[in-house]
Amino acid sequence: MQIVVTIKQVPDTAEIRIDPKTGNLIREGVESIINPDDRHAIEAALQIREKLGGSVTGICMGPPQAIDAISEALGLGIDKGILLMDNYFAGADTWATSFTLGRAVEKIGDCDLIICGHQAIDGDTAQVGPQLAEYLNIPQITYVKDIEEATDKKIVVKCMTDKGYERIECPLPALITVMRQLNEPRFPRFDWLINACREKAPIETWNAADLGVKASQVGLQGSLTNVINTFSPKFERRGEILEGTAEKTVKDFMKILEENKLI
Amino acid sequence: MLRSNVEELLKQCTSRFVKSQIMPQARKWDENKQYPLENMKKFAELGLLGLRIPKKYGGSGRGLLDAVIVLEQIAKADASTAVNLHVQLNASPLFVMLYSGEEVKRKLLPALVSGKALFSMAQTEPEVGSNLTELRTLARVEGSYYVVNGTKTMITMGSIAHVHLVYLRFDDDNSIGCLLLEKETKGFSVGKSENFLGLRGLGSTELVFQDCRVPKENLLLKGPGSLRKMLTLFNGTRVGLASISLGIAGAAFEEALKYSKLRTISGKPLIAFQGLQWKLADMAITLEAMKHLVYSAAKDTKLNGFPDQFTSSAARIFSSEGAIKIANTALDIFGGYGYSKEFPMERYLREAKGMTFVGGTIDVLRNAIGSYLSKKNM
Ligand SMILES: Cc1cc2nc3c(=O)[nH]c(=O)nc-3n(C[C@H](O)[C@H](O)[C@H](O)COP(=O)(O)OP(=O)(O)OC[C@H]3O[C@@H](n4cnc5c(N)ncnc54)[C@H](O)[C@@H]3O)c2cc1C
Ligand SMILES: Cc1cc2nc3c(=O)[nH]c(=O)nc-3n(C[C@H](O)[C@H](O)[C@H](O)COP(=O)(O)OP(=O)(O)OC[C@H]3O[C@@H](n4cnc5c(N)ncnc54)[C@H](O)[C@@H]3O)c2cc1C
Repeated sequence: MQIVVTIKQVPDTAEIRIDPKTGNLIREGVESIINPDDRHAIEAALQIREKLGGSVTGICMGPPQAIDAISEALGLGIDKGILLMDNYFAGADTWATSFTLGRAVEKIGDCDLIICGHQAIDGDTAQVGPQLAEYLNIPQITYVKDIEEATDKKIVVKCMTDKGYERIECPLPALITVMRQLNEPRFPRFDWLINACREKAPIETWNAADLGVKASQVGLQGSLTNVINTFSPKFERRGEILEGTAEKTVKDFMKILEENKLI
Repeated sequence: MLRSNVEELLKQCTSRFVKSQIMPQARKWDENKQYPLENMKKFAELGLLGLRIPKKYGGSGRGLLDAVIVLEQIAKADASTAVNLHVQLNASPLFVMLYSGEEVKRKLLPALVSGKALFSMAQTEPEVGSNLTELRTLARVEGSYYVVNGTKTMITMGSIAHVHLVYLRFDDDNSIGCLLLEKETKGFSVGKSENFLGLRGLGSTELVFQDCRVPKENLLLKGPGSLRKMLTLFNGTRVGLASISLGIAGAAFEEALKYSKLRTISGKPLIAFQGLQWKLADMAITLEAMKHLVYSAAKDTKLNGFPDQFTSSAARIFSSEGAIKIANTALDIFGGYGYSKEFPMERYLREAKGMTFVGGTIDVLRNAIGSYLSKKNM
């Protein structure tokens, strides 16, 4: 079983702050980590490999410092890491990101299963997984919270829905995006982290030329969206006082909760 | 070729592991005077116990600097766990690496890497602490065995270790040396357990040897020159201990700084008061100086891979005293809450104090600096 895991390096904070003047993310003093959902993706891949054999390749598009995400993934036990790095890749929107990752998957070749995190804690769109599957023209299952069965031919998963879950069986090759409910990620091994920093570590860096893509297809130039403005939304409290008998106010209160999909 | 910086990677990954696996339980271990057995198991699973063991015995073959980086992070959460690990990384197994025969190395080093052979370092005796040359535990030569009699006290991991590195006197040449005594040896028993003020997770106990027969291949050092060899190794262990003090101080400072920004008095955060700013400034300066001393000692490998006596002693003395000062002021900044067991501040102070004794008192270490200075040509 050949598995590819997509790994994004993100700033370590659920609360991204945005510079009000420039609209850019404030990255200063914030440590970079593997996107939390991707840890679950890596764990899932390792567990499948432990059962079925094969190999797990991690791919990450990012700046040079994203090498740390690859090294940590090697510490966790993936077999090989590929960093997609090129000035031309910078400023990619979700489509350009998915396209670049897709070209990398094609270059790797013969891949049975692609596992992505559901959502990145910084970009937060949850689009890359689905777009990557579309680009590769393979089936996709999103919101996966349980992998019941994986064989060389098919995968059986439970994925979350608003009301509960769906159980889906899907032939391979396929792409799944996974939720944190899926598993308990392991910690990297110290000896493998050390090995990941050595010259002969199984890490490759691929640039635009390696992927055979033109500058106009990737990064800012290849992006279909245009960011016009970025801002932190203001949160305002809205107060509402319910009046009437206890019975009526409780009923009204329940209605509000239901309407806002809080229960 | 693009590669991660190994030191930075180890630091970040250790810190994340520590925050999720060690920090949440440190208070419980302290209150119950509990040796956290699960930590050593996890360290073995994560390949950490082999950090400094050569590759041919299953380790990673790294140096003191990496050990210091890891210990500092662990000590931020639980200094006892850090001391226990320090003994495995920087103390007893290094004696085995340097002074055991090949057969013993093949038996013990891979076993350490997998967590099956954990070590203690047994030096202190009820009547002899600071002065190694007065040790009373005696090894009598009898054919192909040494017969050991005596008692050790306050031994870290005494109740846990599978192999005890015992410092003792040999009756035939009256020299001070050391050998390895395995837990299963007939006549060996674990004595009373210590009830320390802090560092309560060390599993500290007495060790009792009654006619313990130790095979000759377990000998490490004996005869003239042994003491000098042991002292060189101590230069390295000191820096390991210093990094633990650094970790305790770092944790205390970070907590105090955070608190000083959250807690308000008359509408102002504590840090807005100049009196408190000065305290925090002094803490930050001391911490920075500690860091420099510890890391420059960890990078110093003048003596066959070991730091020299002055650098290592200075790092340990300065950081154990610095940690007490920082932990003490950090406790003050928390006010009455600092004195409460609800918060870790009082534990940091107890741990910092304990670090002045582990591996010998810092006053005795001043003697080492004194003798270095008196020999030094100006
Ligand atoms: C300078 C700059 C400019 C940008 N401009 C735009 C823009 O104009 N329009 C726009 O829409 N976005 C823009 N972005 C955001 C960028 O497109 C997204 O961060 C990126 O496409 C991933 O989307 P996401 O974070 O929402 O990931 P999600 O779709 O939420 O991530 C889901 C999963 O996809 C995988 N994944 C995502 N990104 C990567 C990656 N880089 N490498 C490997 N795996 C990955 C991971 O497994 C992740 O868990 C910009 C970012 C930068 C740094
Ligand atoms: C938490 C903890 C863990 C420990 N772990 C271990 C362990 O794993 N293995 C082990 O062998 N031991 C261990 N010890 C014991 C420790 O090494 C000894 O306590 C230390 O060496 C001091 O010995 P002592 O207690 O007998 O004090 P003493 O030697 O009796 O000293 C008493 C006082 O006299 C001072 N003093 C002694 N000699 C001089 C001198 N020449 N000049 C000036 N002052 C002097 C000392 O500084 C001290 O203040 C541990 C102790 C503690 C508290």
